[in-house]
Amino acid sequence: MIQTTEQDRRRGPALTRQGSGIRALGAAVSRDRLLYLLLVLPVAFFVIFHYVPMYGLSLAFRQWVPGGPMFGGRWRGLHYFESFLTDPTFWRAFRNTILLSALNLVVGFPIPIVFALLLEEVRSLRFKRAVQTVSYLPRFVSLVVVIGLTKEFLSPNNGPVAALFTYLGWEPVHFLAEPGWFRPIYIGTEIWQWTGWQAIIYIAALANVNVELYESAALDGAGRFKQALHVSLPQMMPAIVIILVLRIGHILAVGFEKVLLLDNPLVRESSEIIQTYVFRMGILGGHFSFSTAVGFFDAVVGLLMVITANWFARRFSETSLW
Amino acid sequence: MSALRKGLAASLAFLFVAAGLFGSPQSDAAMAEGPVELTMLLHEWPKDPIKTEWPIWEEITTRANVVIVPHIVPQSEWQEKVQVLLNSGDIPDLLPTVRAPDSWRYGQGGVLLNLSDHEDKISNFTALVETFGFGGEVDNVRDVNGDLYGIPAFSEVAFQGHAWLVRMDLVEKHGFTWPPENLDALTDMMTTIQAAEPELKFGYSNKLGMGLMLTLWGPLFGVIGNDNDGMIYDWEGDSWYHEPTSDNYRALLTHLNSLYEAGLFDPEIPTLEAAQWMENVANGQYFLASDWSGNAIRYTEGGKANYGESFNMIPVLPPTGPAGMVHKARNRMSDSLMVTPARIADDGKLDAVLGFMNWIFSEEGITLMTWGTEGYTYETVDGTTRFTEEFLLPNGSVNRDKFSKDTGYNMIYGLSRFQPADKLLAWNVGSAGAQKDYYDDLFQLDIVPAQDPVVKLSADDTEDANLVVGRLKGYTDEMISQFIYGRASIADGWDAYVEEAKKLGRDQLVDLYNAAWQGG
Repeated sequence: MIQTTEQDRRRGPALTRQGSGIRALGAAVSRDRLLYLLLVLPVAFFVIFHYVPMYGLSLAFRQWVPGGPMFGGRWRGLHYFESFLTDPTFWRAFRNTILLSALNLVVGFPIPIVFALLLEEVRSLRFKRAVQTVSYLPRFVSLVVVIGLTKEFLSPNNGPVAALFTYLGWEPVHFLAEPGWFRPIYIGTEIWQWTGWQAIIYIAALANVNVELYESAALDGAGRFKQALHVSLPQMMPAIVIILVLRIGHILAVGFEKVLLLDNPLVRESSEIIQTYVFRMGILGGHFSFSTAVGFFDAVVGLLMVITANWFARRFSETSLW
Repeated sequence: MSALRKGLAASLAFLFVAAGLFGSPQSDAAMAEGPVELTMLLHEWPKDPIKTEWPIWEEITTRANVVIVPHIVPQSEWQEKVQVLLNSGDIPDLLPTVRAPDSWRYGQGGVLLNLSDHEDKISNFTALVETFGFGGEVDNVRDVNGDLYGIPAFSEVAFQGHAWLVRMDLVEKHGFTWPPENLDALTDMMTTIQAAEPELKFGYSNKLGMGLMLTLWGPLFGVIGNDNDGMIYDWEGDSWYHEPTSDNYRALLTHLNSLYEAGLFDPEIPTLEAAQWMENVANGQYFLASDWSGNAIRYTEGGKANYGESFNMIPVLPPTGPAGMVHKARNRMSDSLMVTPARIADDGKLDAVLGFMNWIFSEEGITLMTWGTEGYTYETVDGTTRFTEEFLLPNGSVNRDKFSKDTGYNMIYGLSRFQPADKLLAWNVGSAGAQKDYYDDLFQLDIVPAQDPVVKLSADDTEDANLVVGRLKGYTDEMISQFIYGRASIADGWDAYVEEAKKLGRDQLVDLYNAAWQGG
């Protein structure tokens, strides 16, 4: 892994030297023109769909006028930011978003890794394949269906869970109406649906591990567990760190549809997240400047999170996004 | 960018026509005498795709001399698409279901055609408004200057498809009669029957959350119900008040909570999926429910199969509450409009668009857009119009599926039209049985509450009001559920609830409304 960073360092100055003249750049481009041609589409994609719309952020400071210019009319300064920053409901939504996302990350992130490690230990190739296929199938089930199933399972009057509780002599719980159960249900279904899918990248990382590493570890007297701990896990580290950094960047982007589908007024004290808040306040009310302001805030927090996470990653491991 | 977009739009349009979907023989609009092509945004449901072979297209072309070129949007993306089209200015010749306040904003911005300037060309429309006394309702969708930027959809009668459904077999078995004298008598009835019937889990339930519950129970307590901003007009005091914090609302919540505490009220109302709920009804789990009146037929059919031959669920008149026996009807007029862009005047389509709008409200247009084609979808016998055998189910109700799939007459979503009372009833009720009896009884009641006038706020005020409404409604919705389900005590918590609502800007909202009302 240290190699990666050293390579990076070596490549750095080399690039600057090459790019030190427009002529040199031109020569480089003309030499690799086919490669650059390949680059055109992705660059165009980012410019059109990611950079141009950024200008729309100016709507957060202007009053949106129907039929007027797309990026708003009268300048309102920080008016829309004040509107939500002074709203206690916004802060509740903010707290819920972070909490839901962080818990989801803490609980949900290690599971695919453990799953991949366990799967790696399975000897029968056929069984391994079968497990892998079954485990990532839920990823293809539509969210609406997943929530529908969840609701049927957890119904206190007709669901199998309630039937089990009654059988055990316990009082059935109306899980979907208890604010305390909202997060466990959200995270549980998330794990059920995504574990297999997210494990694919780790399984791929493990497939690339040099068998000699295991052999020498075995020679040194490492059992299966020690091998997993000291060979497999470190080999997966780059994938783990990159995915972790990216996921931290999306910490405010909780699955909006899922929350909306699970939501009801009885659990709103836990279920209201920033996106549902924006949906109710902004979109339903046609309040686009306000929604843009919240979205802007969201993006800034997300960016700060990525920077922090990347700083930590660079500091404490050898892999990082930049 | 804009060139790119135009290019894309042009090629899409080309593909559309090239696919032969809606290519018409008279696609050359330049021919002065031929039918003019009008583009119209339409939505479709996944199960009922829009078809070229529907008779409606040719009928419209023959009778109204226009060719409708549909721009199809999946139902799920409809609202978003309407907003995008309005904002981009790329509005098709006919754009249905634009909310009235939006029509004012875009209209004043010069994007939409001001129909008030052309009222002479839509004389059928003005005549219809006159004949059926829609003037007040139409004024509600005019902007502050009295300008009208679109045409609404009308029904001749105020119709409420949602009804109280009761297990009449159980009412009779236990020696009760419907309607009960008052709410205490109803609670009594529910308690006795729930205790005596093992399959019955709850005295009352409804599907799709709290909204329907409040729509049906609310009027019994004098609660009008306004899902948008909670602001209600007080006809006696000539002023506006915030309903969810009113005394009537408190009485309503207190009653619903008492039912919940007594175990008569289904705690799963906020969380049940519709399909599961409907299964529960047919399994005999509920005594009293609210749903579309027409669904009683299928519940009874399902109940007979699952539960026993005696199962009989029918729509009934509401019980009598403190405010009387009241059933809230939907409005006679939609609050959304079919609009047309101002640019049609430059495109030379002004006469065609206005002509079409006018034709919709002609005798011929009204019949075609509701009953369909004579001899095919409907027939007139002894002066009564009715749907033909072909479009009826064995039990006498309309085969809506076939009607939607084969004709298109009912599928032009949001098309502003006028529905005569006989069609509305034939469509929703059928010609005989418990359904018919119910509506005969219902129309004896004075079910049409006076419709609230509309307060027209300025753009800045609208923005402020929206902010307050967003916060306030979020809070009251949450608390209403908490009160009903006993998570918060009404006796101890009501004053604090009202105080919190004030903090969130309730009084500011009320003042804003009253100022605009008195000023306007």
